[in-house]
Amino acid sequence: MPSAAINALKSASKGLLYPSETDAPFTTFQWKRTDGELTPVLLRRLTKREDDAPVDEITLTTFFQDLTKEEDWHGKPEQADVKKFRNLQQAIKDHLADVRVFRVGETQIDIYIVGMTSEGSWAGLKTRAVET
Amino acid sequence: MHSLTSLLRWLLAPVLLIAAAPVYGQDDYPHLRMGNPSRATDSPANKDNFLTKKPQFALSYCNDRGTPNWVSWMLCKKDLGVAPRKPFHPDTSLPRSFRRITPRDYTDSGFDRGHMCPHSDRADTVENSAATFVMTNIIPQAGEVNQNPWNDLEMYCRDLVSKHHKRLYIVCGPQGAGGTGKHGSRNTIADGRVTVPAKCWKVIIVVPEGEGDDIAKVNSGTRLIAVIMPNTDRIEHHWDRYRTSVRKVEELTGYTFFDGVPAEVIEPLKAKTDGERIAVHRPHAR
Repeated sequence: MPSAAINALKSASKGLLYPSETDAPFTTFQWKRTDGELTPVLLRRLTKREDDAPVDEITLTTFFQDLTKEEDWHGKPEQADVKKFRNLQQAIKDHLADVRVFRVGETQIDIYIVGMTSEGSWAGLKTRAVET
Repeated sequence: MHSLTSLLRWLLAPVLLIAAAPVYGQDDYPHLRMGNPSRATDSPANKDNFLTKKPQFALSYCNDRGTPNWVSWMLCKKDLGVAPRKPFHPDTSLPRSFRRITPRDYTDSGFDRGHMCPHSDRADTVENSAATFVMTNIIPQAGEVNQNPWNDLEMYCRDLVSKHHKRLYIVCGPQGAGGTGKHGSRNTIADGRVTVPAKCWKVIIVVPEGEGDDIAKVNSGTRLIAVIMPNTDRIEHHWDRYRTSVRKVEELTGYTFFDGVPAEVIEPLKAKTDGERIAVHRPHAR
């Protein structure tokens, strides 16, 4: 049964696309509670990635920095997206504790925004970037 | 008499050299040093061959296609670095009468926003890196091309610079219409505003790094590399399989490359196809 956090994140990310060389939707995920810290080794296991998949960590602020910034050239659709991204950032802060952002892989990069729900499980959002 | 003749020859040599030297612009701007492939100009009336000279690269823009015709840049060691990526954005330097292509024009098109001058060729500063995300440096490129052989050739070029003390002059661009992406074959995207190329091409001249006039470094042993890749998701992953001659790219595009180099030196080189053995390719995870 999806938690309140998952429902809130689903709602806040609906219709949003993460822009890179492509555009990728956001999906929610929830992992069974695991003891210990979210290390790259554990992350690779949880995301079923190969042992040598590169793992890079960034802050939530960095992830949202350019997405929540208004630019002079923005038209109405871009302005609407900025608002939605600000809203999503807030929803993540409201519903998840100890949020961390991991980028896994190269060229095709899986991005995991993961934190702890009030029920004590790891959950969050996944999206993808293409970077050549 | 012998020594006088030698003295005269020594004194006259520079004069003779200057008299024989081709009339090429002594620009400090490196990105068109080897030539202007389509004789693009910056007259706003020249909408489909409009020259834009940025600090980071030069390009000829085609308003009708909504993409560049070609992008040209010099790549050397100081250009490499770790500056972060920045968001894609429209080119606000284009004349007002031009159609403005935005990143949104590519959303859900089935094609990647494919860089011509790569971000990683300009990662020495944030400003230079950000400049590569301007939409006049971008074409709709099949994801399998952008992420595999095109990307691998870009990395090969940077390796020549970082590991083999080379300096590269690179020109690349789209050709034709009709590519195959995630949603199948398309001639255009964004309601016809952006043409999807049928092919992507690239030509490279490799000179040694170091002091001196780069044109004078070009000789009969200089390496030229050229590729023509089909713009389709069904592409093979090894870029070297798409090698061809610069001459063939000229025939494909109608452009003239590297005419900043004296004809007697460059013409024979343009007829050749690079045959150097390309080392083991990096494995692709998917």
